[in-house]
Amino acid sequence: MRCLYCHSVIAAEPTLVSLFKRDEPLCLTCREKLTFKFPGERCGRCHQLVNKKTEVCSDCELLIGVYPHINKIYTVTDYNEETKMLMHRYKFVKDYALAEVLALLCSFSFKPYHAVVPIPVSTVRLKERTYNQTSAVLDVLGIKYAELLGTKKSKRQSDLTRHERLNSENPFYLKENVRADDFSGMNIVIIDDIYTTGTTVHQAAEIISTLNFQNIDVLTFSKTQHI
Amino acid sequence: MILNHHANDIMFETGVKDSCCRRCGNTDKQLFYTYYSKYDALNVTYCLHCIALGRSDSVNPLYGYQTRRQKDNISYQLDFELNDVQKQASDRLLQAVKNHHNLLLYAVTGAGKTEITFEGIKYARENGLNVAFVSPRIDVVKEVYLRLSDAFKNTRIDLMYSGVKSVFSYTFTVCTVHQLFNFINHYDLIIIDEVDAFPLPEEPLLMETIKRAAAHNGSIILMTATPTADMKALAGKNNIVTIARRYHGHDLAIPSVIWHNAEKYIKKDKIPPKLNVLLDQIVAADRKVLVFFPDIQLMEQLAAVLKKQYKRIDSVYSKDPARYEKVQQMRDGELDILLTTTILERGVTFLYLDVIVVNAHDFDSASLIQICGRVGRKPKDPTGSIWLMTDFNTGSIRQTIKTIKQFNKGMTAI
Repeated sequence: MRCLYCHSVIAAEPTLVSLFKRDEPLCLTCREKLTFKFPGERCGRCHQLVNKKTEVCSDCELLIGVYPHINKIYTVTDYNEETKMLMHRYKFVKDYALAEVLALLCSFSFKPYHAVVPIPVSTVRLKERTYNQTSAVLDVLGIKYAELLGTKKSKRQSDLTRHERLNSENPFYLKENVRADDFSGMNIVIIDDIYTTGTTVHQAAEIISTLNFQNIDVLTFSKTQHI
Repeated sequence: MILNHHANDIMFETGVKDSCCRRCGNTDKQLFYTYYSKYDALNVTYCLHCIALGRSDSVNPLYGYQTRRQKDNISYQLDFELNDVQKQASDRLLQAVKNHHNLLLYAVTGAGKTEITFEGIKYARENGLNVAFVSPRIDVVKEVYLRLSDAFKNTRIDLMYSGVKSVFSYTFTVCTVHQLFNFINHYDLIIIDEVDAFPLPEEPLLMETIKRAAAHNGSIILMTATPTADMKALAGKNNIVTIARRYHGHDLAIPSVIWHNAEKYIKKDKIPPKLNVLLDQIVAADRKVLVFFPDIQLMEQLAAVLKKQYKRIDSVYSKDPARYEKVQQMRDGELDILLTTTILERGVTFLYLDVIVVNAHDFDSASLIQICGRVGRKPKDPTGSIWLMTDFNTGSIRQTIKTIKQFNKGMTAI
């Protein structure tokens, strides 16, 4: 068995427990590096590092003012040096195997949700990458998801400045036939790969909110820390 | 050919075919990954081994250029003359290039190996042969690049290692071994410095990469102070040149063994008494010392204790972000004591240096010989002391002392 992140052989002594468990293609060292979280006080909503512990940080207050639709935000790991490397390989070098690694790190319970919606990838990007990096992880996890959204966006988020992102027009739209379905009283979770300014998921939530879900939560694989 | 995904010409229809990566030569089934691509509506297999260079897969072609050869009348300057032994070795190397065969240059640490290659490089470039000077170690690559560009003043030399690419024409390149993945049948002369350094012996595929990068009738020159049987086989019995003397002509320092269970004290956060005596002695004599450890944890535990007693002291290991700064501080004489793992076993030269090895029983003989080779590298300070601190004697320790003594008698183990 090889670690899909560092490609070294995982030499684990078989124990009574591991004997009955499926082997994981991720070594302990890499797991520790990838799940490293920066120490410090955090915002209780978006998990941004803050000087004083707070339930809602100033960034969130601004966002909520424009997009009040999201209830809770969950994140798997910080966007640390190692996660950055992983995302780069996963999204731009097309190292698809890393979907398995992200899936292994993602110990999130999808049970409470009636619907799981990944953030869509534009057709231009899909042609380049040949997969949606978010739904690929859901595929590995065996989670059924609904592609309710489409996107008009063509520029990479990572090529835009913070200001440009926050002031961008909402690029998402509902796909045809979605509006006819009845979602009232249901729970939904929106999934994205990286939470930076939060603009993407909040804009997606704005469009989703027109479908009368009772509760909209968000899960992102990693959270960047801007200080 | 040179593979490059910005190029226009297709070199291979697909990067991976029949469980073989055409870029890096990987055939290990564990190092391929297959998944069903909804977008392409078929299974895609790609190579994990060389993923860092961009994906080589079963659906997309590999692009690149054909190799071009160009003559270049280059010359070099040396501020000293090669001695007879070096001259002889230089001639043998030149003959190897002319006659398209491999050569093993088995030379003691500090024999002036780099300078011996200059004549061969000059001949190769004058005849339009592509030259690569490679090493598994980034430190060695950087140092060799400086020495080569210093000597070959009017020549443009490519420099490549992870993160750094300063490239002109791929006709004269200094790089790490990993950078050779993109070259197939391209370099007519490949010189490998420190062939036995990590990770070359651990990853047999890297040696294959070097052979693939070499032109079909090219020469591979292996340079080392500690050759293995594989290297001797690759060069061939008649193509081994040995240099048992350092260029300054002095004997190699012979290590003394100190029986001491240092680990016992370190685990209790105490300074091993015999180590303490040695360090005091060295600092009092106004010399510098490298203290080698088999693992980082042991080193860091002792470093914390030692820092209370000694002021001009630091520790360094491969992933240390301040690694190069600390080595530079040591070079500048700002530190007296530098604790290190095996990363400094080769490629570094410090003046007035002594060496101590803690837990010498955990080192193999190739490492120990390299470590002993750190002292007395300059004519100004042609010798120094080496102490191997060990709990018990090992074959590697005996072998090390025997080999060094033989070198001093003018004999080599071959």
